[in-house]
This record gives sequence, C-alpha cells and structure tokens, in this order.
Amino acid sequence: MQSAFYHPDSLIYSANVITTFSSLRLTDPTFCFGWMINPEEDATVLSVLAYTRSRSGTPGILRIGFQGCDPTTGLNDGIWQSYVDVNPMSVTGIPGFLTYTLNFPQYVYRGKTICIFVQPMSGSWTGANQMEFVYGLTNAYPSTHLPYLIGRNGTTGGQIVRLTTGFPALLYGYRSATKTYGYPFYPTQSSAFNMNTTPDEIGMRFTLPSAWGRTFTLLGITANHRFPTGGSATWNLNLYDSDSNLLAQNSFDADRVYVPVPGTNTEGTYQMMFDARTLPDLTYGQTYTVAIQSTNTVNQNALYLLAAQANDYTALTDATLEYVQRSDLGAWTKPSSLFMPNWQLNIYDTDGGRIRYSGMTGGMRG
Amino acid sequence: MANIYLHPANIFFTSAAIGTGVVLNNSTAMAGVVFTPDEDASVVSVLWNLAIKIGNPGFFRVGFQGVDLTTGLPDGVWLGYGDFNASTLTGYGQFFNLPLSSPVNVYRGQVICQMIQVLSGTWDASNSVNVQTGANNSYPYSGFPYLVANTTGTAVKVTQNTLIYPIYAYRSATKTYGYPFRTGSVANISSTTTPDEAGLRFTLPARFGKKFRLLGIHANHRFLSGSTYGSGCTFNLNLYDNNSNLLAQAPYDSDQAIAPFVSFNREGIYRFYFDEPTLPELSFGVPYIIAIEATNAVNQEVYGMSALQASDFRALTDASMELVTRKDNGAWTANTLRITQWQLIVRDITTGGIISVDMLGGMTG
Repeated sequence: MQSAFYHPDSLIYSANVITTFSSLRLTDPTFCFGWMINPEEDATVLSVLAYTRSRSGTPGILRIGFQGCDPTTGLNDGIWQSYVDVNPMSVTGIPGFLTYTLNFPQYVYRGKTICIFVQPMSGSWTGANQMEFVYGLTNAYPSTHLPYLIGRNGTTGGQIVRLTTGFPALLYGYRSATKTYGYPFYPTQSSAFNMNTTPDEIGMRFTLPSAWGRTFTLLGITANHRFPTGGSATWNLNLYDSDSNLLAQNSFDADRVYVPVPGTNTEGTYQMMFDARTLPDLTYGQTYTVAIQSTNTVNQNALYLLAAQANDYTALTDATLEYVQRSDLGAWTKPSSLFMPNWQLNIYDTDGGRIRYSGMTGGMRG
Repeated sequence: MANIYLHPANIFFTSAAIGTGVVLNNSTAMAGVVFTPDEDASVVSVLWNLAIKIGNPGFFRVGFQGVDLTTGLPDGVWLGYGDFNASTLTGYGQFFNLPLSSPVNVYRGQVICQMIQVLSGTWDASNSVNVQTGANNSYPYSGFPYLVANTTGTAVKVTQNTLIYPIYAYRSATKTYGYPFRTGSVANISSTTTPDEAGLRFTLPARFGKKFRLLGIHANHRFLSGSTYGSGCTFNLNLYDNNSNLLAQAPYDSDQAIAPFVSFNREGIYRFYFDEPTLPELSFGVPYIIAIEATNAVNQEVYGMSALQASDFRALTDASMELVTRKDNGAWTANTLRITQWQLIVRDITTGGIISVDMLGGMTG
C-alpha cells in the first residue's frame, strides 16, 4: 500500500498458539541450544530473556549467556563471553519469559553474529530432573534463517548442529539498561468473548509518537484472531478517540473470512479495514482505541502477546500499545500492562509536506 | 524494532517459490480471491497469472462479484467483467492484464471477489488453463483475503492449506493494487559469473522524511552449494551512492546462517545488517544502491519479483525501485521490470526537521 505502513512491522503471527511451540527439554547433560542472532544495533546487554516452560525434579546447574559464532561451522565457538549460572530450583515464575541477569555486561554489535546459548553445567539432567525452554513457534511466520537455531538434542547424533527442520519463528530476548531486543513475547489468546460475555469488546489503545509525524488515518488492522467454532461470529471494528467517542466503524462476519480448521490451525490472519468513505484525520501523540466488539452470541478469541515487563515492548515499538477491554460500552479497563493485542495497525500517513515534529526541537533544518 | 521500519511493508517471502493454482478444466470451473480494497478505485483491468494452457480451451470471464453474506462465496452477480478467448491469448506463464468492458468502482472496506471463470467452449482435461492463485509455504498467509474455487461443480473456500498467500491484482487508470508479481531468481551469481553483483537501486520519496540510515535488508535468498544444505558461500552486502561510491559494507558467509535443504525449501529469509559502528546518513529523495556481491566461486541466487510493467510496483511502494546488476565493479545494468525480494530496514532520523523539502503542505505546525 502506498504511503502506508504496518505497525509494529515485526509481529509474529501463528496458526495455533496452543499446540505449536518449539521447545527443548534438557533431559540430558549434553543437551543444549542457542539462538544465533545478528543484532540490529549496538547494545550493552545486562540480561537474557528465555521462555522457561517447565521444570521437574531437581535438575543441576544451568548456564545461560553469550558465545561467539564459529565462522566455519556457524555454531557456537564454545567460549563464554558472559553468562549466569542458574540453579533451577531457585527459579520462580515458571512458565513464563524469565529474566536471567548476566554476571557482567555483554557488548553486542549490529551486524556481528553472536549466540545466546543455554547449557547444563553440572548436576543431574534426566527425564525426571529437567527444565524446558521454548525457543520458537512453528506454523507461524516469519520463519527465519538468520537469526537461526543451533542445538544438541536426542536427534542430532550427539553433535551440536544448526537446526534445519521446522524453521520456527524465534522467541528470544535480551535487555540493555534502557531497552529490550528480540521477541520476548509469549503469544496467547483471550477468553472466548461474545456479545453476552464480560468483556464483549477487546481493543488496542494506542499512541503513536508525535516524533513520527503530524496526522494519519487508520485504514484498519491486520489481526491474529480465532473463531473457535468456525463461521457465524460477527463483530464490529471500532475506532474511538480518547473519550471513547466513535470515530469509525465497520461490521464483519466470519462467514466472509477463511476460518482455519477449528481444533488444528484455528487462528487466522485477517485484514480488517474500515469502510468509511472519509476516515478521520488522527494526530500523532494523541491516544485512540481500535477495538473488536462482538455483535452476536458466537464466541471468538483475540490473540495477544504476554511480556515479562511492559518495557519489553520497546523491542517492537516506540509507540504505546495497550490491551484494553470493556463490556456494554462501559469504561475501558486494562487487565495488564504486560498484554498487547497481536495486531498491526494499518496506517496511512497524511503528513506529507508538513512540519514533522510539533515541538520543532530539531529546528528548521530544511 | 523501535524507530525502524521495513519497506516495502507488504512483501511476501517464499521457501521454494511454489505456486498453488486452480485448473480450469470443466464447464463450471472458477477461481477467485475474496478481499477488501485498501482504498477506493475505479478498476479498468484485472491481472491473473495464467501459468499453463493445454489444448484449445474456450472463453473465460474475469471481473468482480459481490460476496454472499452467509457462504462467503461469490454471489453470482457480475459487477463488471471482460471476456477472453483462452486459445488466442499468447505468452502463458506470466501475468495477463485483462481489461474490463467497463470500469468497476471498488471501495475500501468492501468485501468483494476478483474472479476468473469458465464461460464457454471446450474445457476439459485436454483443454484447460492453470491459474496461479497463491503461493504455498509462504508468508504472510492469510485468513482474509482468502481463496475460493470451483473445480468439482461446487464453489468452496479453499481450505486445504492455510499457508497460502493469495495472489490477485487489478489496475485503475493510474495505479496497480494487489500483488501482480512472479517470484524467483533474478540473478545467479558467484565471483566468476557475469554478473557477480546484484542489487536494488532505490529512491525513498522526499515526503517520507529528510534523513535516514539503512541498517540492512530483510531478504529472500538462496544458497545453492552442496547436495543438502548450501554452505561456503560468501558475499558482501554493499551500499553505494548513485555514483557507485561505497558507503557501507558487511561481509557474510552462508556458514553463519541456515541454508534450507537445497532440493526442496531452498530459499531462506535472512536479516543482513551492516556492521559499521556509524552508518552514513542518507537522504530521502536521493537514489542509492544496495547490493549483494559474491566474493567466492560458490553459487547463490538473488531472489526477486517480476512485473508486467514498472508501474505495477506502485502496488507495493511509492519509492522508485529497480533491479541492477554488474560485473567486476563495472557499470550497472538496470531492469525496471524487476526488483529484489528484499525489505529495506530503515531507521528514520528526520526528527525535528522539515519532512518535505518542497513544503507542499505549508507551515501548519
């Protein structure tokens, strides 16, 4: 779309968040894995984020940290540049994206491939004494080949190899003192909602930074969404200002979308556009809400992301993007600052030729 | 990524450039894509990729129909159409621009179906046309837009594969919409081939901003060596100004990436970043070239998209983009009907300045 952009532009969309996580159970002391990444910018890394799915028994000590990338094999080079040794028994918050703080900072550089590596170091690692980490999401996009996964598990012949099957979208993250990188978000779904439930409307309250421009229109959203019973669910796509005044609305019916087979690939990726002939001019720096409001009694589920902390969304956006919900046109509530709808805003910038930044902090350089 | 965007925003990536299609081989055969236009338009033609013709099939009809509220299938009422003799068309294996007999107005937010349907004459196993309606094993796959087809006498939503990117396109008098591009290799390069370097000459519009940095590219790419996984392939990612002065460079080695199984899902999706501590400030409205230059004799393929006419790329972008190739740092050869299957990873650093050099909108701030 000309002059249009999607935001956030690096979302992962799934076909079934219930069944398609790629994970590794560290059930053997030799098992290990790593994300080989190519950082987008220089950073001083203080911690690593890894989705820790399960723990059983009393596994031994685990090391998480950074190693270099061997230029010939593309595998970890075996030299720890920074790390933290973890006693699994002291880890709390399982399951969830957990923060593993490094013993000392790790410098990473844009364009310099480096490995976030996870490896048992000592103690018992068996089927009864294990930890499980989610490293990706299969049947999702974008899959990726740089960054990529390496690891040693029960199918790699005792060797650490580049993992070349499945090609999941990768779930990993790391933090500097001010910002998070990667994709440390666990996708999940809302409770089923319909016009008779509480809530009956789920939305994204968003504020696009004023530094991005002056005015824009919201064409619609691209949403990961679930119709658990197939067709017949109906809904309105609503756009509100910060006082919940309705600015735009379009009605939809799941009969007129493709609903993947319920029970298997239940989520679809849906482009929902407003249909008003003239869409309202919106202003960067102002707050709006775009929402899906159920209009019949057939269930649907909104897909959303779950972060370890709200600031982790700096990995995706400089905008403020919040999960909100309400019932019967009442007051909006925000269940958690850790949620964000798995939606992209479809934005048409109408700024052309005007002053980009209302504060003019940069002066008249043109 | 904060303050960073990918451009073009709406590009699809493949793992083996595998098309999926509908064979029009009986008297009721039909294929279509149900979609919502992104803006109002007066449509004068539709584009379909007619991949294969067998025998001497008869006439088919292309155009638009509404979509039934209950079934989600085309409602049988033509809003506008054009009729064509499949046997007299030439050049199968590409997109065809098929004019409508009269324009059809489409509207943003409207649910509508672009269709191709058998009309008359002989259509059977020996007299057929294969229409490419999507790309398998690609992303973004979609639940809306979605595919419909009639191959057995009954129209249905196409449900056998969720990982389909629907392919459809149409033109107004001034602009193209949809995705009218064929994907595949646009340059097979090594250090010993001609060309040995292939890339994208691009100009991001001046009204997009004032200054930016190019962090790298998000690329569909193939490494071809070996019998299983491509290995040992090296290249430089190069950024040039329009006089081919080198502005940034980063070396890469396929050993430090995943090359999918070469005989099946051969293309990978890669984020290649420049590695200089400080990247050059680039200007919107000024042309640059970003290219992959092979640095050893191991083959690789630069992936790209081909269009019927250069203006079809406006379906993707307002930026100017064209494929360029060269040999041994010589002069570039341009192909305006092709672009690389890459997204530019752009960091806008305009903040605080005038966004448009010509101040088209005046000083409203």
